[in-house]
Amino acid sequence: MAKQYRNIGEDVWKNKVEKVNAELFIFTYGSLVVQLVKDYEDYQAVNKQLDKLGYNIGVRLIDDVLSRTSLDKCKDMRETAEVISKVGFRMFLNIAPSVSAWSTDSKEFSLILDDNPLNDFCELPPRAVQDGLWYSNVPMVGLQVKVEFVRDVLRGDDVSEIRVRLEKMLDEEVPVGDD
Amino acid sequence: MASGWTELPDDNEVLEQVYVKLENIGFRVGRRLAERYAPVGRRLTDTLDVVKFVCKDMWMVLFNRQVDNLKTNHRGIYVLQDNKFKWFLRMSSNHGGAAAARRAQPYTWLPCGIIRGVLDSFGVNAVVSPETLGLPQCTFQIKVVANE
Amino acid sequence: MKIHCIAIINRHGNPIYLRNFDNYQEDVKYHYLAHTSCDVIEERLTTKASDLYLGLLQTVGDMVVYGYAMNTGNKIILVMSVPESLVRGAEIRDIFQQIHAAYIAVICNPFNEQRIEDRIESKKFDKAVAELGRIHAK
Repeated sequence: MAKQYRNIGEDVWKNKVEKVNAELFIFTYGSLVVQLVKDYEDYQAVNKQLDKLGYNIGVRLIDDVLSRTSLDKCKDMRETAEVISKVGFRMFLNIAPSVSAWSTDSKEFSLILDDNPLNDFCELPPRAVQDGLWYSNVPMVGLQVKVEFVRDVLRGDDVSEIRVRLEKMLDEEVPVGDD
Repeated sequence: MASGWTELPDDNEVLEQVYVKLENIGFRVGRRLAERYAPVGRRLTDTLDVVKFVCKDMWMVLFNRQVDNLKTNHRGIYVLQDNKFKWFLRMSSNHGGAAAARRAQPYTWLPCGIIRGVLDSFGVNAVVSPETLGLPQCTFQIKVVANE
Repeated sequence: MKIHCIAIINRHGNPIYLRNFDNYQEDVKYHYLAHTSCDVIEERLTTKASDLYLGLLQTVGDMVVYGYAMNTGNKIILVMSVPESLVRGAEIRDIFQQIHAAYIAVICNPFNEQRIEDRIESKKFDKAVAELGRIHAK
């Protein structure tokens, strides 16, 4: 199963998506985070904004993934995990985090990012580490799931880890408006 | 939001705030792109060289193409014209040219900031303003305030 | 070839970084060397040199000073001991390129707010420079 998705991901990345300059993307993301830090002056609030932003991007990305591949709706969490890692991440960030640490009820897993391009060049100020900023907090997943960063190399961890937990499956997702 | 369209806020003050933020974000991006992509095999000796660097190298990084036309009065004003501005290519509007151009304006604010940031990195202090007569055409006017 | 000092001077001629690897010399000596070297660089730049690496700027006693000028205006000054054998230009150029790359990384950090007159304050940059000093310790 994993191999099939890996091939789909490779194919989409190579042949079906328009690419933008990686640094332009990274610098724009970084500048956006810093703008939020200036606006909110509170790292927790920034996490929340990034999460919201990520969600709104995520629901659009899912459409994009489905329209560029012949994938059907995922049957279960294991399939979802593979698609997110091998197709989704490959298509938008050209990385494929490994899926691991499944919970016994198969509703929770971790995405391990050995290399997170968003982190390139980034050195967090000590205050940001202390106050718990999750710099790459745009997990971009369009399911009714709880998604959170639990480890980040920028904060001194060995790897970056995103923990994903299914809360409920929804048929239709609508982007939430900014309030 | 409910209509499924993102409308520009009518409130000019809100729009002004959006402008300031996007322009600032662009400025930070421009400062970084300038250092990262500053040529290593040739030297930019004057403002015109720097503006040409924006038209060619930077535009390639940003939009995968070069600007179509560069005009200058040789007294500190440079006008960059892009006839197929990438971020306008998929835009259309039911309200005709002028309204579409108005609605598209915020998309030019980030690049305005980027251009200002690049110029600043080379010691050129400038004001950058956009103008759109009809999509997808777009011009950016650079007005040099001072050279360091 | 020992590196004695690595300095970065901004486009206004003010030092924004200076690392002295020499146990026997005060910083002020290298500030002075960097300053006089900048004059040589300005002179070289008027000849429209296209290369960022400007080669040997001056020899002072048992030390040689090399220069490099970024297109965005900063200059890097490298002070080394006089080599015992023939120096390969490529080696010096490589040191400059590593310093330049480390500088770019500092600027590209999203949290960096550095303006032209600000000193470079970055642990990553310090580490990169210290590493060059370690490799070229004698």
